[in-house]
Amino acid sequence: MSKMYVNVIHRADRGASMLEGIKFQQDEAHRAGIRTTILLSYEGLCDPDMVAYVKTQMGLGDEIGIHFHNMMCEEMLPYAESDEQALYLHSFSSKKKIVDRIFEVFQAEFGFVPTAIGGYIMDTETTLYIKEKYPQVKTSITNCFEEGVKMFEGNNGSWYLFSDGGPWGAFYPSKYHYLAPGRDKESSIDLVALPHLNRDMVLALTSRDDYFSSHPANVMRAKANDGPNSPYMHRFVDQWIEQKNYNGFSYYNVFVSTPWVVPGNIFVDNFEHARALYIDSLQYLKGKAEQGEVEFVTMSEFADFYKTEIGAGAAEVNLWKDILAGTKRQTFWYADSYFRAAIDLNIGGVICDFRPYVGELSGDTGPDTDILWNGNYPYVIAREHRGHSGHRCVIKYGDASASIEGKRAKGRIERTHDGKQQLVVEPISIQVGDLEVTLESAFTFTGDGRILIERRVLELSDPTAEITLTEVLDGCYGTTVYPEDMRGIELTVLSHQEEKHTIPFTYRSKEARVAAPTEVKAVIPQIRTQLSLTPEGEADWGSVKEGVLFKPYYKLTLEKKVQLGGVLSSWLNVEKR
Amino acid sequence: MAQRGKTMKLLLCPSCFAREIDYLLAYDEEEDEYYCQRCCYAGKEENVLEFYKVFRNEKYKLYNVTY
Ligand SMILES: [Zn+2]
Repeated sequence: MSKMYVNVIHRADRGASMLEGIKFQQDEAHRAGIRTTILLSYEGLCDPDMVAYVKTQMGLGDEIGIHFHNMMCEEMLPYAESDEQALYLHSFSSKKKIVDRIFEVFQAEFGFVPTAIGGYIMDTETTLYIKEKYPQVKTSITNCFEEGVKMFEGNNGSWYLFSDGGPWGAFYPSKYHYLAPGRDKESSIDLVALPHLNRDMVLALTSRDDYFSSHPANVMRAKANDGPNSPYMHRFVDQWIEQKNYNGFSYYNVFVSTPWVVPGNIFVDNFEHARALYIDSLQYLKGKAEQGEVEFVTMSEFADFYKTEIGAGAAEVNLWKDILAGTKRQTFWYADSYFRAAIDLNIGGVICDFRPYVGELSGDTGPDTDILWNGNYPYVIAREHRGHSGHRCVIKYGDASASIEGKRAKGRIERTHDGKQQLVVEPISIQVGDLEVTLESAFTFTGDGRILIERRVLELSDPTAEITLTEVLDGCYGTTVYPEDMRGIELTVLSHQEEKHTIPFTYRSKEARVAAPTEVKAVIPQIRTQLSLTPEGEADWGSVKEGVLFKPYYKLTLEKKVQLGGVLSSWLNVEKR
Repeated sequence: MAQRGKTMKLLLCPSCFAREIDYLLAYDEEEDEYYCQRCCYAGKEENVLEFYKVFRNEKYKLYNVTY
């Protein structure tokens, strides 16, 4: 039976209040039969009372490791190059000195090198350095899924953490970007990357996902609790358990740092309620463990499982429904080493977010890097940030046209006969002028940088009608809500008759269109990526169009005339350029 | 009187509006409900109007006060 593997992680910080808080958390975890992973911060390591307590917990079988938050204090100033509080925002030379200092103190106190570590962001250069110097490390919390621009705006620009565009689960990180998975063992860092918390996979795009995570006090911050109760949190756990049916396993971590369960946190309206919610979360998971659906493990134990059973380059999917507002909304996610894609079923199955990893961009941050603070992985589609972007299907009948976006759809995950992940969008009926069209869509993820997209016409209110199906990709690139400079992008359309037109992007709304297209593509040198649509079989027309400054997108289209029972099949491809 | 559910009204999403974002609600004929394509809001016309009212009364306390 497949399982959801659960880590319960506690951070050990400095001071009497933190000690009291972690004792509460540890006792409650043990009462639920859970062995925890305690990650000591440098401040915690500098507190003899905390170190003594953590040693007692180690004696009870809990795992002990390092967390790189709360490291900037008086005792660190002699080692670091600045008083920057975030490790990932230091220069590489400063990162190395901080890392070495913390490992040194940890080893002096505990007499071994820990195998589990973590931070909010652990960028590639830091992780590579740690693995080289401390090869015993097996696993690291490396990223905060989808925390970026919206979270920054929501917290009044006070929290410089940009980690938007990576996978949501466990993965072997590539050697170039901390958010991009490696393709295979050779191209990956030998360490299992874990997310800082699981997130609500619908609200991750529509809301602030630091509100809606596997962290009951964050849910309280969102006011999605009623005092000590939050049925939402139970449904959240259930949804994560369901993911094991699609992937063969599921990973979940509860990581509430101590400040959330002691008095004085501005986001916690009643710390007793925060404690009650914490206990409830652990007890709910305990019940699931008793039913055989959940297995509690330490971080390093999970890393061992992942290394043996899953390995580098594995694809993962997620199908999530709205469990907070209870609407029909569903979001599907896919990630592997080539790209991450999200499909919004609430708008008929539009690709609403797309991050090609093939460009192998660097994600290292710090004052000595080009990207400084911006650890987000670039998108080519991100509807939450850039509302016009997306990949959709448009149906034309005579002079009328309609997009799939107008219909709420339901999706299901299937596997093809050769084991590929597939999202089937259940049939939707769309009114196009006076014709009603019933269309089914399927997205097949072949695991080689391509998605096969099939549109099948199941019904027509006039069975003799002929309609045109058009795949439309409106793309851009960027990491925030503002447009980037599109100059340098080239749009090309190619036909079977070897007709070829290339449009360099100059914001002049130029367009090229050919019959019998073989490929329509955008080459985006800024992210070393080529994005293309190619017909599987025949298409009638293909076009590329550049946007203008008021609408800075490129448009790629493929269209085909079909009748009842007809299909438009095409590929969405990403390649390195 | 317009037949309910047959005429889609132009209603802005009250939840997005509370964040000062303009977003027109879509209409689901099967459910006879309006829903937001941007956020997770969904509701009947009267829910939408009530949300505006609560928002207006709580936030713009003087909007209807004459001096
Ligand atoms: Zn909305």
